[in-house]
Amino acid sequence: MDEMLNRLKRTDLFIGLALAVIALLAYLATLTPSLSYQSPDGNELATIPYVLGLAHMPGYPLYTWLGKLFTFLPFGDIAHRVNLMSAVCAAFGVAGIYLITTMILHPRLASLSARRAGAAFAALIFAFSPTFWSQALIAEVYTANIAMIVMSLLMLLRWEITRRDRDFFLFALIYGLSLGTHISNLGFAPAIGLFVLLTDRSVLKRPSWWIAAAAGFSIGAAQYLWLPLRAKTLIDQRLIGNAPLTLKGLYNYTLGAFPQLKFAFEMSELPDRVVVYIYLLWDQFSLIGVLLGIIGLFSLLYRRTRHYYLLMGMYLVHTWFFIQYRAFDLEVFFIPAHFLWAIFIAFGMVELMRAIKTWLQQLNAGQIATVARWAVVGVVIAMGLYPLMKNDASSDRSNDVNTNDFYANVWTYLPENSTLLSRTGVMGYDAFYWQLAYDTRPDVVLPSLPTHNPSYSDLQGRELFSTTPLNGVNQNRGLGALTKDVIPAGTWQTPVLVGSQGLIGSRNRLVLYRLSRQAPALVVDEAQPDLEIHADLGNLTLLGVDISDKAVESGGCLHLILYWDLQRLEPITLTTFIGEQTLETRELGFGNLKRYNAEVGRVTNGVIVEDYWLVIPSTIQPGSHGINIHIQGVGETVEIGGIEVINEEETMERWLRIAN
Amino acid sequence: MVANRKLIAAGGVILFLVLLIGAFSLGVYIGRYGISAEGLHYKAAGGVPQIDRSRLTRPEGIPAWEPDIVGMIRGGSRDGIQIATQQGPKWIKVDGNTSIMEISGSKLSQSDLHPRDLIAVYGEFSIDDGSNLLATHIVRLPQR
Repeated sequence: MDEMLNRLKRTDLFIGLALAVIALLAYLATLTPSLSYQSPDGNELATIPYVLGLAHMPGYPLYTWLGKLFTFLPFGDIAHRVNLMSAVCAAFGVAGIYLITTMILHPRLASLSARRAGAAFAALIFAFSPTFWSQALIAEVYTANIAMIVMSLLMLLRWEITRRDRDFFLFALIYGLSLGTHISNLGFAPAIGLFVLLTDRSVLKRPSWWIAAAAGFSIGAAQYLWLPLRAKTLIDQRLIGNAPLTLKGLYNYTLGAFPQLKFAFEMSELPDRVVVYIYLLWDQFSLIGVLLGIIGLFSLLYRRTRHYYLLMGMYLVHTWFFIQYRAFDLEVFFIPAHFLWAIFIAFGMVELMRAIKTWLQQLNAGQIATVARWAVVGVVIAMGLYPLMKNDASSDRSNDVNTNDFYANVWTYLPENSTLLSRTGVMGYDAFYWQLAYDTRPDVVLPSLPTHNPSYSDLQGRELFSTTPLNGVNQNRGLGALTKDVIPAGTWQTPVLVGSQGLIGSRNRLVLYRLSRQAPALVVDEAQPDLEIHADLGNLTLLGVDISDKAVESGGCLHLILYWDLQRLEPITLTTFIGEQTLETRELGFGNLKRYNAEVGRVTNGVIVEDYWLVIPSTIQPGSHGINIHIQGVGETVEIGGIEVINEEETMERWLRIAN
Repeated sequence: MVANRKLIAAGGVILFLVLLIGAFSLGVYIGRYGISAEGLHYKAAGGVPQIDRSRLTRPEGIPAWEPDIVGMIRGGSRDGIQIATQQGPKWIKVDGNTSIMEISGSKLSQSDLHPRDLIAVYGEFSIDDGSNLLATHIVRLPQR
């Protein structure tokens, strides 16, 4: 320990802490407030820790338990607290890069200040690299995994100094535990084994070392007993099919998970995959970072050969595996490789500063050279902060409120003892979260929560609503989709509440539908709107509009009734704005016009009535705002009225009040 | 010291091979796409192409909302398409229910799609395939 502290001076601990604080402040300023669709399974990962359930493959037991600890925090809602865990773990990872690098950097390589500057530079550019930053703001496993990798490496470096079996036991324990934040860490084992051999091969002859290693790792990996213990909590069809209740099931759920994604490319495609990886690396650190990393690798090889084998071995196994992995969000899987590359960058930067120092000494410029050396240190640290400024706006998720705003209004809207059909399994947690974490509206039945395959008989006798489209072009597919026979063919889906799309992307349309066997009153003979508009839009005329309230709480909703006259039946796309901000893009008649015309008729002979509630995002500033409708294709925008947005209740307080 | 030299030499060989693989891959890429990021990052002059809204009506079958992702096809297989997008390279899963069409609304099959075609993809995430985007609709956009 003493020797470790000699390498890692108290000042370094303070610098590491300062770097973590800088990163944490940036993460907190940009943190996702609660639920989010940023990650496809993020809402599941925000909920599972609270209920101590079993997450999707490979289960993530340690992540679940760490998340549970964070749910005890006394502020925000459950999802916010789990998001916060990602931020804290990310900040810890940033400090870890600094500490690991300063431990490995050879004192003879460069002056203390240069070594610290190089390590701080690497920590900062990793902290604010776009992919890592994005994962620090949401409920996901990747930053927790970096925190565990950091702890594993620090313990391994400590053992390298002390050579004590108990230190190796602690390392093996943490390494075993790290499998619970990402099981791919298992791939680091060969590099770790090689490092142990290069450090002290005599340990192989010591039974006590073997016992320490096996016991530590086994205790850490024993967390996977959590899987069979909690398998009964699974509600996702695919996961139930691979439930970890037998040894085979346990294998399929962990090491054998997602076989179709692994090594999914043919040999001829590998050059392309390597270039994809280089592109992603470049995207994180820029060309300068890529070049500094290569220089750093040579430096590491020459000056710290043993550590080169450790870090390069970890890096190669990880990149080789994920280069051949076929996932949509591939970039996040490379975060550990980026973490290791940041350490290489630190070595490259220190070599660069050493070269500058040598050059300045050759100039024989006396005091000016000293000033210049300190200036270089300052510039290096400032350069480390450049990604913070560059990526700040694009990383910010603090206004990602649409999911909570929508569901807060859904729970308010739903009639007593109604039924809400949502997406199923892992994809359904945007709805399940509320009842699992807060027991929100227990009178409302969520048939997809206890089972992935609810039956229609369970739904009888209640008013039916859904947040997932069940038919037509809009129909949800993928595993989150309800089975086709849950709702009888011919059921009408009429939107009654529409959420703002905002940051969530188009793939998650926030719409609450009312389900009915009878056709909705989509067309009436004549209209008597409160506000007559008569805007001629070619094939279409906006006759008028009813707006329920002039004052709307931000995050609340606005009741709109639009009256249209359509001359010719054609699909028409509309976008509604509040001020400049898009609220919704949809089809006139919400996709029901063609069927309505075929079964009921009168679409072009009567007045089309769209009667629905529209969520006003809680990010809208209080004050007067115009509501506009833009008809795509025609290029016309019609102002349909103005509202006063008020803010009498804090957003989080409102979500929590409605949640229960 | 001798052992250390051997380790450095072996490590140097590994590093050399890694750089060689990287250089070879970049060479293959440049042979295909030239010195541009076209094969990875789709960056069209004038921004990402939009579904043509210059007409009042939208062809039937094309969803009303904005596509999930727009990009240029780089390659593919029977169960998926690799595209270069503004968000970088992405893999899109397709299945027998994926509806593929021209911007005019006329139907296409997957074999009608070729590298360098611009496409707009509408889809759903499916956790069963490790968070892949399963395309429900693919619309081939006019070449720019």
